[in-house]
Amino acid sequence: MVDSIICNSIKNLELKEGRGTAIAHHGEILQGMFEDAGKLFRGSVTLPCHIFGSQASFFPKKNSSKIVVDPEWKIKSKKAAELTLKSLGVEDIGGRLMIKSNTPLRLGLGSSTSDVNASILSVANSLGVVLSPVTIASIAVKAEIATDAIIFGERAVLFGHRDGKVFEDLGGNFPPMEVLGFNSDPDGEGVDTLAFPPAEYSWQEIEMLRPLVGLMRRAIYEQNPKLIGRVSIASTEINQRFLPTKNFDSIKNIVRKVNAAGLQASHSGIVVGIIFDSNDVDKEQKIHRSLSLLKDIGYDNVWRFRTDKLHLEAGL
Amino acid sequence: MKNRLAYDNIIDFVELPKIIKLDDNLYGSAFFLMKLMPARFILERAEREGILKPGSLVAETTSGTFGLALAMLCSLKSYKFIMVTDPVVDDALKRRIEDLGAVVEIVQKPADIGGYQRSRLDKLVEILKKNSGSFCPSQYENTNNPAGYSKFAEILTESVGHIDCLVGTVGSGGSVCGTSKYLRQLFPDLHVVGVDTLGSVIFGQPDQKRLLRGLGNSLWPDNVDHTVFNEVHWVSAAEAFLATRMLHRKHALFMGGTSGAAYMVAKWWAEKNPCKIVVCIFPDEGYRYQDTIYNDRWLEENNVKLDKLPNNPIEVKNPIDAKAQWSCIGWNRRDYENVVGKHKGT
Repeated sequence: MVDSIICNSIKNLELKEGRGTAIAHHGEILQGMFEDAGKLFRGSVTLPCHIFGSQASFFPKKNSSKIVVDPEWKIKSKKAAELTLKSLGVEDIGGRLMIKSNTPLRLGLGSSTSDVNASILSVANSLGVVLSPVTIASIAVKAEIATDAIIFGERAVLFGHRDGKVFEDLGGNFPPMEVLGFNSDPDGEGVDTLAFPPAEYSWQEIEMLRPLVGLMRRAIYEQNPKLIGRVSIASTEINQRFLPTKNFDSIKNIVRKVNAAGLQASHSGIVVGIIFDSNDVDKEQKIHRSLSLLKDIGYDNVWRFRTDKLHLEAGL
Repeated sequence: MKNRLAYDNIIDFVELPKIIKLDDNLYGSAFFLMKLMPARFILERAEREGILKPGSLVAETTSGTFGLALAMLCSLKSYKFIMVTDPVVDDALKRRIEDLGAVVEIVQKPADIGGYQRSRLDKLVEILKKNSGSFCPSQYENTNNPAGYSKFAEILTESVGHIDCLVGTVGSGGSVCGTSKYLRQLFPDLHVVGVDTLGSVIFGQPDQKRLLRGLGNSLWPDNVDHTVFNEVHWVSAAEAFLATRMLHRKHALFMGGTSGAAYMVAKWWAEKNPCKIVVCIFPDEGYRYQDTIYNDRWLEENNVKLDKLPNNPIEVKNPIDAKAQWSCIGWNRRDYENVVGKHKGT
């Protein structure tokens, strides 16, 4: 919903090439069905990851309503661009949308959400409009049915990924953490996140998730990566029934052996991360040891990122 | 900052406890009436499963706060409620429950075998049989009793963060067993301390008349999962009463006798383990006990007035060795037979 002042200003605007960039995420810390005041909703807390992401460029064309997307198969991004124009009340503009991404597919890194967010930003940018994160998320969920909270960056939110809105702001940013990430099933086919059926949580599981949300709030308040690690392990345990994590016990053993803050795993994908406290004086030693232990169980393609520096790196 | 809205009803306001820091590593969770939590959960699950229909009769055998919780909920939810009890029920509680619209049915004669507990159960079965569509919450067997403590576990993790040890009194097994299972998802090494009273059979003591009410049992409730407990303590009435008064004097927390029993054990455990974070459960407020626990004359008349608490419990190897004063055993998450050496009731 945009008021007429913005629409008029858009009509009089010189159209220019628009750009948008968006980070990816590294799967969930917490996901489930939550109850609030008698209502149930699906929600998740995703771990932002700036080493992967998308960059979109939009070249607008007047007196056209057609959008051409490159690469052609990114139809959700095309839909997002169309929805953005529509939500801004623009009817006679089309154009070309080009997307570059370095996010590996089918791992649960939110590659599609990253494309979609970058696309929305590029279209808005070409019209000289700045959209709020709330508006961007609401357009994204229409474009791709389930979306993630990447537009909120390092802010920790319990996000309704099927409603496209924040159900609860967790009261602060993620604490400084470092993550070693890897594909837990490199020989497998990966998971088509959106084709993956939504988990059918039992009422017992809905109750089990309550103390996890409580500790998530506390973890953000204390800025304590170790508590985040407790939440993500417990949430991943609940999720094993819906999507077992490959080598889950072996990876948990590594976390225990090196005394890392915890581990997190995509709840609808195969990416896994071992979490370290950025302020831990033994961090480098622990990371070094983890890399060697991961190699021992067959994981040698491992990436590393921080959660408190969220600029998508140039040269994508 | 959260918006402070009006509550839909009194239960929403008083269901959750206040979490209060008592010492560097000791937190108390002070309930208005803890049993509201499982009672509400049991009724709402039964409603959702279609077992409990609008306007139906709820009947239960109880002489304590579970009855009060059910009476409050049934009054708000427009269910009929019959509470079956025996002459031990305190008159003020009976009047309060009746004022909420419930019927208090007092069995007058103990059964030849099984005493009042048996005759109460017989009466309950008779009432349930007579009223088709009636519902019995069965707090001792219904697994929705322990399952109802998820919101308690949530407020604990939110208010306290990491928790090393949970201390609570055991009666039906609901609060301590339920809360521990929820918390152990996040803290698998949680140390759970169960507090019972001398003369209660739950952890293998011989059955005796007990002055301290609200914990302990003459039967073994199914909801007590013995493998939850790392450590078990038995507390005498006199010790629990003095500890209740100390909780009031030192922290201005006006709680019931079970709270005192839990506080005494939790305080001792927290002092012994200064690096561990301890949470202690206080199940109800002190108003019901103003003429007893909070009345020195009553304490003297009943020969339960102490001046000082023991510094330490007596450590025993077998539950039957706990006698007359505060004792404890390393339960180590074993089952009942493993610790006691025989089956329940033999």
